[in-house]
Amino acid sequence: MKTKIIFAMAALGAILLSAGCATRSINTVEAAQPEGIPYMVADKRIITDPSLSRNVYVIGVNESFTEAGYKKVQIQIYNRTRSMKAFTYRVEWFDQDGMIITSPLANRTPIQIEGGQKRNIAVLATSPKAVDFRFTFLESMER
Amino acid sequence: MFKSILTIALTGTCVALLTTGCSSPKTQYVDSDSSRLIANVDEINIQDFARAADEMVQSIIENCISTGSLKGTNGEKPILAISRIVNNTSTQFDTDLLVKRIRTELLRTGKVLTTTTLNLGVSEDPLAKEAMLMEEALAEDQAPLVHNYTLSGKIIEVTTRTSNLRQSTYEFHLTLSDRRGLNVWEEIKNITKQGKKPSVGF
Repeated sequence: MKTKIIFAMAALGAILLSAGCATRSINTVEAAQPEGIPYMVADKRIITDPSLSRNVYVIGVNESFTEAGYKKVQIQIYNRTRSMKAFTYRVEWFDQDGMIITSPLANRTPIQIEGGQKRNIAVLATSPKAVDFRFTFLESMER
Repeated sequence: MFKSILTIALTGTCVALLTTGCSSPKTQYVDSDSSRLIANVDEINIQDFARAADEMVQSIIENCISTGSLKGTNGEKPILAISRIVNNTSTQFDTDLLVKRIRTELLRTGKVLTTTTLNLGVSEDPLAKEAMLMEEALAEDQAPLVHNYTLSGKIIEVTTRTSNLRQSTYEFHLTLSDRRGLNVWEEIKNITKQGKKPSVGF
């Protein structure tokens, strides 16, 4: 009798777990030889949340400039898991003296990335003085 | 006996002090750009205005300012005036929460001028308008100040709900028009939120 109850509970637990952790991930198709050649930037990473860094991996950073000299930075991220991940990012801009450029538009932007998806985050500096950048990523709070 | 009472009293005092010290404050300051701000499904929060304004400004800079397509009178910097921004959502708010952020950041680029006197309806700065009219009256041979572009827009809300989940999409439409009424720039930005009740952070 006791064994039956244990089996039943284990089966119920497995069903509940599989329903709760249902995963789906992205299939992708793109040109094998892309025509655009990104200018990749050597980046420095400080990881204090290894879980986020492991799941949502930053593939690389590339940059370009607009005609008027505004810097544009693009980060390519990849969700290495099979489930959707939610996090926020923020970009800080610095001038050539290393001073932060403050803005009334500063905000943390929420973003979601499906399992197996590659996604680009492109941000344009709103000041022509911006020469350096810093991206920060923060995993979204559980609600 | 006395020793026991003293021990109990001291322990009680220590516990009380510890509890007071460890209790979280009822009110605390948070950064306006932090991820700990309160987010509601049923209304546009301050972080949503900042996010919408940020992406709108990036689009104006990339498509208009950076390409040099905004032209002023006689080679001067273009003057941008704010026209009507319609709030078509179910909540009441001051559209300056969006517009002022955009105007501030555009002015900081140094590529455009904005105005507080050339407004739709009541002037934002009546004293500056009086001074402008006085200057125009004194300098009769000088052409009156006119804006080159106007910024208009609308904020629309679309809500959907299931039995236990609500979803609100706030769509921000902005248009930049020249003096002939031609649209030189347009942008749409969506912010969609889902939830059951207000919560902290995103």
